[in-house]
Amino acid sequence: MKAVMRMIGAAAIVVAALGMTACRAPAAASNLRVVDAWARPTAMKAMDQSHGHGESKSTDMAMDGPVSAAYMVIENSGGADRLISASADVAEVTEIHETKDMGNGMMGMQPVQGGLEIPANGSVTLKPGGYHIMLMKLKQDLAPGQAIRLTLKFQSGKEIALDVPVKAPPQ
Amino acid sequence: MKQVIVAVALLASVCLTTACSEIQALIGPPTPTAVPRGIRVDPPQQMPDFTLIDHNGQPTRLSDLTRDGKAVMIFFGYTRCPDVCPLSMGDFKAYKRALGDAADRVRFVMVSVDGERDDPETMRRYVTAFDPEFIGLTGPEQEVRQIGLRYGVHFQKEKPQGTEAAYLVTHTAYSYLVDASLRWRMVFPFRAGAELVAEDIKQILGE
Repeated sequence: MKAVMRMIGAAAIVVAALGMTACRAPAAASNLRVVDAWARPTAMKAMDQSHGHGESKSTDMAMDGPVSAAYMVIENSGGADRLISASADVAEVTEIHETKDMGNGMMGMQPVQGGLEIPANGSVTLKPGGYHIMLMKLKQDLAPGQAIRLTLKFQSGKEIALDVPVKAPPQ
Repeated sequence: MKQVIVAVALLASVCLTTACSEIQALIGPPTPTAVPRGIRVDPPQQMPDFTLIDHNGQPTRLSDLTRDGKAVMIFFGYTRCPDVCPLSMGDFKAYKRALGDAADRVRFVMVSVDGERDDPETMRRYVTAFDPEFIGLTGPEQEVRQIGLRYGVHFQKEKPQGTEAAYLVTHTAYSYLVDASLRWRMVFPFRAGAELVAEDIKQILGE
């Protein structure tokens, strides 16, 4: 009898364990929306490689060319997700960076390691002085009134492509 | 008490050693809600003159910029900085606007901490895109380092994991007001509020 009880008990545990597994909702899909996106105009002309005087500075490792940044709010009405990469038609290199206060008035910039978490039913704001999509090795000037094509890739496999207006930052 | 706070804050901005972190701990973390405002250098500190190359390629002394009785607002940054530096130059625009007529008595200057990449032409394109009257100065890294140290400015090249940038430059993002007699008068933190900055500068100009 005792053995039967033990077996029932064990079965109950197994059932409970199975139940818990079944109950753990498959990670809810993220439901992402990007709003208020804008990109900073470049303050200088892109290096004109054809305009060189015999030598192209742009091949130098030190010459990254002009940079800019894109900002936005990523809203999520679903499960957690992660922005893992971005690309832009106007930039050869696009990275997710964060401006950080390093203490004592020092400000630095760091790539966001492992992507930017977009919390479930929450949002992340990319704004001046914080997270930004850094656009490097720009192929052209970014002037107010233009738009750039930005593609955001998320861990869930979702991709969002959007046209981001180039405009002067809100003062 | 106020003097103590000013002295401590000033120390924080000019200190050069690891003691910095202790002073920072004394001051505590910045309050995110309050609009940051400037701190007076009290007593004013006589600063050495220096020469760098302006954005037209001309050797330019600090004293050339103050010769006609103008004060100079100095920010140390670099043109391949996509966030902090454009923010600070944008703030310079806002300060200039907030100064109104008094803006005629102030020059706004960005000194490059990236002389390797920021040649005068690059500086010209950069600073004049914000305001045609802004002035860009550049020069050899070691010279800028020596000049910056007098103001408590530090900068270092970084190559963090995960970037294709040749390097990024971490740098002090304060701004400094030097009066027409080359006396250092104020330190303004990153993102100092325009109205407060204008108020402080006007007061210094009126002294």
